[in-house]
Amino acid sequence: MLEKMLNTKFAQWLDERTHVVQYVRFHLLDYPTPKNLNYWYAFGSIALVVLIIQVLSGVFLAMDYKPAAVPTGNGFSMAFDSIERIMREVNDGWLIRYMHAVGASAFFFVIYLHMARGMYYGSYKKPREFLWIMGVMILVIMQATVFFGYLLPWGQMSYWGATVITNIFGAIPGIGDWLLQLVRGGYGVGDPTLNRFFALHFLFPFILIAFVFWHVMALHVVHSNNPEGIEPSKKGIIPFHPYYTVKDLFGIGVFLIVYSWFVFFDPTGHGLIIETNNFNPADPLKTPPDITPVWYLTPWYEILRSVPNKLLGIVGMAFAYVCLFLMPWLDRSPVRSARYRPVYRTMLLVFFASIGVLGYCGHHEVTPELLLIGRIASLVYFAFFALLPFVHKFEKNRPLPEDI
Amino acid sequence: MGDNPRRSFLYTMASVMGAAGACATAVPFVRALEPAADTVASGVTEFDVSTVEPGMMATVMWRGQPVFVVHRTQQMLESLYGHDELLRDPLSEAIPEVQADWMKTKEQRITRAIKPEFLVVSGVCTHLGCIPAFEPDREGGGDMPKDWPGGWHCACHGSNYDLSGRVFKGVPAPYNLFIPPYRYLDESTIRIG
Repeated sequence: MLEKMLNTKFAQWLDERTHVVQYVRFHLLDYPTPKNLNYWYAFGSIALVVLIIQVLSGVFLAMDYKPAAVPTGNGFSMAFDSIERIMREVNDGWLIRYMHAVGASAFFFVIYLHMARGMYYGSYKKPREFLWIMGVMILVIMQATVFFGYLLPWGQMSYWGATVITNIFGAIPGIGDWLLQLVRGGYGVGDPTLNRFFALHFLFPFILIAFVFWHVMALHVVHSNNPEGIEPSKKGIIPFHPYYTVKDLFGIGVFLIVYSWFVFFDPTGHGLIIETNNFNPADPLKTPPDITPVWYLTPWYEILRSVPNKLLGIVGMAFAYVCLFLMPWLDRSPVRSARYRPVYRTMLLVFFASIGVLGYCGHHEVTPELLLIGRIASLVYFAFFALLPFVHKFEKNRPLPEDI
Repeated sequence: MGDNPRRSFLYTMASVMGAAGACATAVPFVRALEPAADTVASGVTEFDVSTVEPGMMATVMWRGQPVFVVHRTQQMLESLYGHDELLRDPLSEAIPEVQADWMKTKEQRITRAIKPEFLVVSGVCTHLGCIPAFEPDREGGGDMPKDWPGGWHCACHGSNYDLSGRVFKGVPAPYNLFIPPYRYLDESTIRIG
């Protein structure tokens, strides 16, 4: 049927004027892919689906959301009230809000697995360095977007999370105070902050989509890596359609089942997806005892918290991202896949564990024990990158196969 | 691909299920665009018509749009007769919105009010939604028909209505001004909506 559609007179007419049929063939149907891609490779397509869910639900939320911190009759704020109105008065507003909130967590979950896959099979290495850099850029933009978005409900966690994180700008020597007021639009987080964060939360997805587009364009130049991490021969190449359209669609189906389960049965994720304290309206006079970001930001937050110096903590957190960007050049082994790199494989799994530990620590109140564990995990995180340039010198690779 | 019946059956079923899922997902989004529960609930307004002086008009907000309440004098009520041939729909029969349950007699279809001296009509021109200006005693000529009996003139596109909100012929507006649902709670208080 697809073939028939692409061969209609109309499609041909359009193709002669804007190459639409050629693009579909080149980027979707005939796009050459290694035959051995496993389900780890579905997370890219799944992430695209989550992006669409976020844009769609977000636009509908924006139709009823009011970005104003001004108090209303009940002593709350217009913003907080408008969220409650979405939950109670707007038809199916609760569903759309939970789709968006769960979607944010799902996005990070999917992207982290997508990145882990790339690290495990060495997909960041030549010639895919730029593809990897675009990917890390996407992560950074996502984190900025979600940070702006989390202020919008104007709950306690919104307010105090934004207060703490915007203070990061204040730590920059010299221009800190000026920059802080520039970000907040006032002396503290307030109505102007909420207004601009809403504008930015709406803007950033456009930038995100641009980078996703670039990411995919870069992929379609260098093509997919594969679990073996070797260049496949002609025999190992199959067209994207129908093999991976079907495989990805199946992956998307499984994802949507899990996603829907959370949307309908556990939309707050027991305080992980929407933090419990954020159902309390923002109160500038009362800091909650335990301010933690949502789970997907906690590893980076914990690195910040582990350093007993304001400026250096921020430098450390920034450096954690810099390491990710530099990964294609830090790793000098000619072998890509961790399947054939025993030392790298162990290091990588320890690295993943360190991120898990950082995430756990960052989500809990600081105690002396957790602080120590967090510091060790931070060291493990950076040690991974510090060792990366030297691993190939002593690592004995397992023999690579001839073909995939 | 198409030559394997089992495979094409699976493709068809998967496509149909996918399309059904997409349609089902569209439902909450479309519903969210419909007026929210609080918006629907706000569509009730009460008003004391005795506060309007004879010959004067009050404008009441209902569902965020104006409703005209005119205290018609005996002279104004008499002006409703004798220009039927100038009107598009003198007995308010065109569509349900220009009628009401209580419009039983021909008399009521002309005065278009539960109590004839108090006209309650929507203040939204049935052409494209502008608010017509109240012109109770303007002389004919100009934009107005020759024997202008008094009524409303919509400056946007030149539609005219008489003092029962009945539209004149030869103007863009298709219908008489709509009658909002209302009833008397006591002697003089009406509830619109």
